[in-house]
Amino acid sequence: MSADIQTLLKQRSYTAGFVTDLESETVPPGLDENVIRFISAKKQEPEWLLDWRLKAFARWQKMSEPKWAHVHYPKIDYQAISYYSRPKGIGDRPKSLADVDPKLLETYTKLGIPVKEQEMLAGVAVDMVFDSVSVATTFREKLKEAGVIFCPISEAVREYPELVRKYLGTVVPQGDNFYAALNSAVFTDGSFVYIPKGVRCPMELSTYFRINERNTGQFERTLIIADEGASVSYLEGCTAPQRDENQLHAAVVELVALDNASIKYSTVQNWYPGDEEGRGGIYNFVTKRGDCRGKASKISWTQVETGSAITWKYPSCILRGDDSIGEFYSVALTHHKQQADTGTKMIHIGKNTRSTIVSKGISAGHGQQSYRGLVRVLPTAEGARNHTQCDSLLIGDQCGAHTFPYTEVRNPSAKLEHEATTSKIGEDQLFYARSRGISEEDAVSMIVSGFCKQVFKELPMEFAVEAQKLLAVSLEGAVG
Amino acid sequence: MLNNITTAIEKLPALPAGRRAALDALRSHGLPTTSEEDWKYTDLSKLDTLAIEDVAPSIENHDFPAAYDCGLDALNTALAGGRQTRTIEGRVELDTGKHQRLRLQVNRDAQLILDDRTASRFATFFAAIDIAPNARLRLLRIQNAAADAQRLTRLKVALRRDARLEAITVDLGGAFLRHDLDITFDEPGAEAQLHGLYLARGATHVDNHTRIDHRAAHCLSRETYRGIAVDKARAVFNGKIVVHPGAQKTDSEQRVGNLILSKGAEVNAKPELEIYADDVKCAHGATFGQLDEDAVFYLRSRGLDADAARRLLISAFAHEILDRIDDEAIRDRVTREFEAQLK
Amino acid sequence: MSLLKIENLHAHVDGKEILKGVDLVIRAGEVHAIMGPNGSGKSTLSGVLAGRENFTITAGSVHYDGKDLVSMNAEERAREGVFLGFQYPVEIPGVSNAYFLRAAVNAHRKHRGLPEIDAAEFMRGVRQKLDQVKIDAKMLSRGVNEGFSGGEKKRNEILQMLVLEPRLMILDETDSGLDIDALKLVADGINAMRSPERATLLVTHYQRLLDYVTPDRVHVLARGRIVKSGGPELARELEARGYGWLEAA
Repeated sequence: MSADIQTLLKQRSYTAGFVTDLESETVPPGLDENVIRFISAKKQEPEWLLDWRLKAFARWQKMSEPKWAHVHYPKIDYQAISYYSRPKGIGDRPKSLADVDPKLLETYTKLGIPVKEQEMLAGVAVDMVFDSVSVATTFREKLKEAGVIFCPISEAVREYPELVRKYLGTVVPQGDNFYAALNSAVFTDGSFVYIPKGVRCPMELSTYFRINERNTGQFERTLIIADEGASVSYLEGCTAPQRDENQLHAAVVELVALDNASIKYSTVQNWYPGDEEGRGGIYNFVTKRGDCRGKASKISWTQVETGSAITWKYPSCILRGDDSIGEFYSVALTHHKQQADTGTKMIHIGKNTRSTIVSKGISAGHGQQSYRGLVRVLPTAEGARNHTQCDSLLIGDQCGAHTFPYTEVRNPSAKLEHEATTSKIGEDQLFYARSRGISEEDAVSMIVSGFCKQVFKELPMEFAVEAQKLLAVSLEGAVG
Repeated sequence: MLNNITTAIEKLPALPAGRRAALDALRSHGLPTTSEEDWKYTDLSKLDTLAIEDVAPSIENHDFPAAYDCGLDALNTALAGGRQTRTIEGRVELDTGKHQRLRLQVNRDAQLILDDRTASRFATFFAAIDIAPNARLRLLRIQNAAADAQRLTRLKVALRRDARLEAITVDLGGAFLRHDLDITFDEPGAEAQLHGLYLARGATHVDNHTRIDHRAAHCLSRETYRGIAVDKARAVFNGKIVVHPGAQKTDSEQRVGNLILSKGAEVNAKPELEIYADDVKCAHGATFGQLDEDAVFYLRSRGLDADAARRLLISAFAHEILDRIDDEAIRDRVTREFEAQLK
Repeated sequence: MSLLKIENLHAHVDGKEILKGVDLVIRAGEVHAIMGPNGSGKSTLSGVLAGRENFTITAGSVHYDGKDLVSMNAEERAREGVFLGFQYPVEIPGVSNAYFLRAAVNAHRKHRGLPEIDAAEFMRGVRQKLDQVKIDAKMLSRGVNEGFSGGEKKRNEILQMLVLEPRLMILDETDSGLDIDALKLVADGINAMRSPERATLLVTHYQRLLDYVTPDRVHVLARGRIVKSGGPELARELEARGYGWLEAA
């Protein structure tokens, strides 16, 4: 393999590596009932939620970490992590941007997130989460007009307890898996979205958040409910500062779509991936699940992942309602010593359900990437349809790309198709482009974009641009 | 677990030290459970339903190794009475209805036919086959065992430089079957074509696991499997392809097609790819579905009744594999047996 | 004024010396043909001129328009006006022919200080050239050479040549494997590019192409060196007598 491609990938700059030096109110590391009570008290939570957390904690203590993923990492010491951190100087309820600590706002500007309502985020409401407390929510009034609720989950628990109680933990039960149980016990914040009947949310909703404090895991809990006939597009994008110790991120996202409702959840993830030797990146263990409860409901997951040292996530759809649709579009890049074991699960339960899976994996350096997908058709799922396309692009001969597509079919009227291909960016292809005057960098970028096209076109416009740039930076910053 | 099996072996008139050691190894290793990925859908505790008289271990004794890597090898060695070595030349037929452990050498073009001829309730047939440089092996495994038969077969084939393997496997009967077919390319230039058909009916559980390790460069593998599941049967297929670092210019294609024709039937199919080299061409595809209703109607509009139309289409689906059997007599026989099973 | 000047060129591939002192001068306005038996070094010569990295130049020099070609990498040569028509054009699925060609055009334009052109402007400019090589617009939206037949790939090479308007064209066995109709289209494209400012080097195994593109000079490459040069009639002589008589020389 030529020196060309090797040098292409020798370095990848991580532009978001810096730390805001704010005084944080941090709980010392360790996890026991007291820490949970502390978190619940800090957030002024009702009794029922504290009980819920404690139940989850009890379950978690009896569970063990999953071992079957194709990833290897040093054992995580859950007692060495601090489970709560909050920047000082912020009351628990900021009323407007004027109440926000200017240093925090500066952080967001550095990250390219314009806070002022009139500026670049035109039309996108931003629910900012800094470490464990939501700092500000913009566009609240506009959304309120439409009847859309979009607020931090800690606020929703206080303002809309019936709604939260009705849906929390119904898509990802506490005992679902090790990380979900942990999250249920210690989640500190996240977004709550409720779109009322027949409402098309007037703007794309998004959340940016960062892990800042040393050894603080991030445990977001997001709950999005689209009532009958409602629709919403939600963007999740995150960056994190450079760190030496690995940082744990174990989020839970629950989506509920009722009759004729649709939820589009897009993620552009750029967590710190660890340095060239694989030191210090983010551990991203996430449980994301969408319940297509209603007839003709639809949930789409679109993600572009280029960060994290270790990624373990399987955004899934439960196709419960008749005629419901589940979609999963993903581009994942693993480089240096990153490892990713990701994929999706589509569970067909109702009649005439459809699922589409398009997974594009790009592996470079010593990156190891596994696609693990499950398509399960239960005996009740008459007329189920699935199409899966799983492609891997390998750059260099030290990386790996693996595919494990599970299919379990128990209904004779199901029709499923699965296709997977593996290819590489060839020396010949790069030379061909260069012989036409195109630089190597541009050629790699072109080929990678072509490879990811199918997924990028599913992203909301603003995100598509950011995703393209992110991918280009990941591969481009290294051209010598 | 395994009590009846170990008791049956211990009751044999001659039990040399090597065979005893195999039994000990079996007890200490144990057999894989469903928590192991490769055995996720096939539960070996089914072997406990065997009575002592069903086990039928081989009376003869052959060679025994010093140690065992896994419980299954120990099981097969203990049941088969050790391993036999032979060279395969020309056309050879072997009976998979008996416990056997073989090491086979193919130096020149040869044809190996594995047929299930003994009406035994339980048999384990494990063979390690080495194909010498430039030699070609045509391997045919036919299984149409009795409705209560349990079978474990494991074929490990190593291909040397420029060697060729064409393997065809057909599973039509039996109650509980697990077949492993592992191919290794250790030297460049070799080719393997694997074709398989499995028909799972009644309450049959049939599991075909294939694994192709591309360890050398410039090797080609093509795999086509077709499965039909009816009644309350369960068919499992797992085709794993591993392209090791350095196995550049690997060309691999795998396709599995499945027909699920009854409610209550279940198919679990997983084509797996692990790729560690970049200059390779690898593709796989899997489909699951039913008969094309338009085609059924077309046949009916030409006078066939619905049943006959369906049987014809199912036959056509299977013939993609059956037609590859060179030996006419065997092909005819297998085709007849397949059609008989469809009724 | 020579457009291409090769002096005493020695080149190695995988440690083996393939070119053993090639001398060649091509002036602007000329069309030269290089013929030779298999193994003579024709592909190596094209590869060296294109800037492939697996060839090592151990002696001699190559000057393009007075500039040292060897010190330029592949994309620099292209932007300076050198075009290599490949013997085996590679496929690049996922990247459309249109996108690829426009990126190349813009890379050339940027080099010359010209503004980039957008997709619409590009399509307008390319339309007439598509007709010349009988490639229809639909093929442009397919991946580069994806699923193209041998003939279509070669015609795509000529299309790129027509669009990029190079000064020095090196066509490596562009005629191999073509039927007579495709051959004529390719020849027409090459002839359309003939001008007093341009030069073409045809590396060919068969004389056939030279029936349609009359070369000014024909050279025979054998065992790494040019052993004979002549006018167009040399090609016909080789066709009739083969290469054997030269080996003896």
